[in-house]
Amino acid sequence: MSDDSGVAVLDPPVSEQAAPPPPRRKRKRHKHNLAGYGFLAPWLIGLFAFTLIPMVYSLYLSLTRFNLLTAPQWIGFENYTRLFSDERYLQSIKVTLLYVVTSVPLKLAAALLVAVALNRGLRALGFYRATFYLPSLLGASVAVSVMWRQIFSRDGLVNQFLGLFGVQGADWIGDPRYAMWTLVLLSGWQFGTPMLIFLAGLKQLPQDLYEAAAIDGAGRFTVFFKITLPLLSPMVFFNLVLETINAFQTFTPAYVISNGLGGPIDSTLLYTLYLYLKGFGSMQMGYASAMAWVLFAVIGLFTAIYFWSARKWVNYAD
Amino acid sequence: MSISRRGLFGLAGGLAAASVAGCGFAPTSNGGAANNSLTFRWWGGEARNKAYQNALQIFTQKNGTKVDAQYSGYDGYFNKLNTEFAGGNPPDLFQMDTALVSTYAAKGVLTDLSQYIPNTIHLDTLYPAVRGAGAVGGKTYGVPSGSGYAPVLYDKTLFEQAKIPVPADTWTWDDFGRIAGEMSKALGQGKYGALDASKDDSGALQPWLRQRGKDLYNDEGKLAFTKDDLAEWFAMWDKLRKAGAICPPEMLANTDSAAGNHPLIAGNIAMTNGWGLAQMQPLTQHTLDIVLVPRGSNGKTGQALNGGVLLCIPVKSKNPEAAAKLIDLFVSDVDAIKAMALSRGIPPSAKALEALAPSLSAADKRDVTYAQYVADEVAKDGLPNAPTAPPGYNDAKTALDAAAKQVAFGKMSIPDAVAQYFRDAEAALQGAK
Repeated sequence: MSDDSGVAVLDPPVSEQAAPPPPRRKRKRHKHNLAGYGFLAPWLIGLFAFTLIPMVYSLYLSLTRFNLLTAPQWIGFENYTRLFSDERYLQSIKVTLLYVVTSVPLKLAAALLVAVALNRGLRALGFYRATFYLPSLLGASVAVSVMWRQIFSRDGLVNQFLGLFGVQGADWIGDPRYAMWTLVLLSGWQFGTPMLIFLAGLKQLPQDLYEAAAIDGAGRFTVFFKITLPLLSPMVFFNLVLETINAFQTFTPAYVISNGLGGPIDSTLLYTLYLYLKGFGSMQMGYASAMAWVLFAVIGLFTAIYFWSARKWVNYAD
Repeated sequence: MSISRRGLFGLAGGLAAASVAGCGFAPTSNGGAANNSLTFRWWGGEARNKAYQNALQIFTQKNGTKVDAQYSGYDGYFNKLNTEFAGGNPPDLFQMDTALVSTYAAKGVLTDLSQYIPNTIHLDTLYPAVRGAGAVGGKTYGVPSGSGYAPVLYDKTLFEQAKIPVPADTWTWDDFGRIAGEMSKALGQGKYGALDASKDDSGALQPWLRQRGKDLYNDEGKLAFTKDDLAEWFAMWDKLRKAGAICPPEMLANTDSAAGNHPLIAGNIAMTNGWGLAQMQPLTQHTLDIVLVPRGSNGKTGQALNGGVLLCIPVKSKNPEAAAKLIDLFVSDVDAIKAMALSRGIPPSAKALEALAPSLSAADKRDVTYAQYVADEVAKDGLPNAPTAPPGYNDAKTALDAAAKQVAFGKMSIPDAVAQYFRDAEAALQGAK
């Protein structure tokens, strides 16, 4: 895939970048940079004030006991060691991992499926594209989660529909066996963003390969798995990384659907929800900060694994 | 035109100096105006917001102090408050959840109001049972603005349809189980006599414990009941659950707020603990009514009266004297009491109820007379007042909810759930000290 593919961020690093300029030119460059930073200033100030400084502060807080009302007390790594004897914490990890490994593939599969379907020269493509993207616009909003809660509640839409066939549906939100899957389904339904990226990728695939495949008499599935998917792998990779990070950080749907408690019996206690409950509910902000840093490390680890494995399955055109 | 690096730094330095100066001036100017103004923060529904604002107008007329009213819903109220406390800029007076007052008092951020009693705040106008609602360790950190208790709320219309007599004020826990079972049978499949209240600490477990001479917490902020008590409690509900008298645990998902999908409003159950008429009646066409929590075999109600909500003054309040006067307005000013009527809950004093009596509607009267009846019954119990909920209360409450639901869903045996509750609750109470 070329540099202007829209996923330039993920292009192979270092080796392909221009070699560093010779030292003699450095001073001059520096001056140019100053103007650049000047223009960057509004964003830079935001980055420092609202991201980096709070992050560093939360790293400090994670090493303290901090109840929000009185000054933080230094306790070293106690918060981190306590984490792993906290059963609710371990439960939240279990729930979150389950959520990530089910919702991300579901969402990407749905996105790819719809993208492929939309790519076959439909009339009114723009309309369909917008329609399928709509759920993602409403995305993490409270309204959608409230609606989801209604749809899957005991007397909700789903059970009324099942009732037409004489089936008494379960209490999807209230039953710990199913509550989690309503969240996964909600995530899968919001496939709009990866779908748009897939669609953009599909439009760029070289047609000659398809023509050659048609001449060779390849079937639809062969074409998809031997041509489309390998060529699209940078898009799959990009979406996988982004959606995994998003899934780890999911908060709103679990908060709304479980009334902010992660129930029934902690079956929807996503990581960030537990973090919120600890920080603002129990006023253990130091502990919550430690949780945030562990999550940061875990997301970093997952991303690193993706990048490492990418060498084996992502095909860049060049 | 170009700015040299030195020039740039000079400019930045000037800006910094200006902002520092700004910081230096700001509190002084606020301090100057402080005697004449006051910020007051509360959470509430529309009715309470209106009632409070009417009372604040009266306050301004009488004292000449302007009140900056800041109000919102309960969601996020304490998050915002905590942030302001952390920033050293809390409101001058604010509304406090009775269950959280000791948590805040333990952090040393609340003013001990004893210095304003009895000269500014006429606490002795209130019912004796609620005077201590904001007391922590012998000091008064909050004054109640309403009174509350946790009755059983039932759907009178469903009882009439089923031709089953409604619960009487003298009913016991045995009657509760029997009536719930009969209602379940009469209502048919998918509907149940009562809500599973095994998870409800203040609305069900506390009166049950007090009937046996115990309580949720003692004055030292420790659990005041034993593992055997809790095991018996869980077993009682388990029996009702297996008999189909109370709802299955899946139905507990929508029981935390007064909304149309609460099983009582949805018509799926006939009785629930922990809710009053004021919140629920407006949501349904059915007629609802309240009755005391079932009595113990010794006839005691075990009800604990609480202060509804409290009013507290932060240590960093810029105008504590005016804040104390405003507290007293809620407690003893007849004009303000009339302006607020029942929309802030039932006022916790005989003086207030006398002042209101002539202007109450029929439904309001039912509320008030029943509250009076409950207060009398509580006095007959002759039990000590319930201690203020200790620091860490919130987490201990969550632990009961978790353990009860583990039993209800059949994920844990009763002894395991009891052990888990005691471990988690004791850790929460200990850790919050």
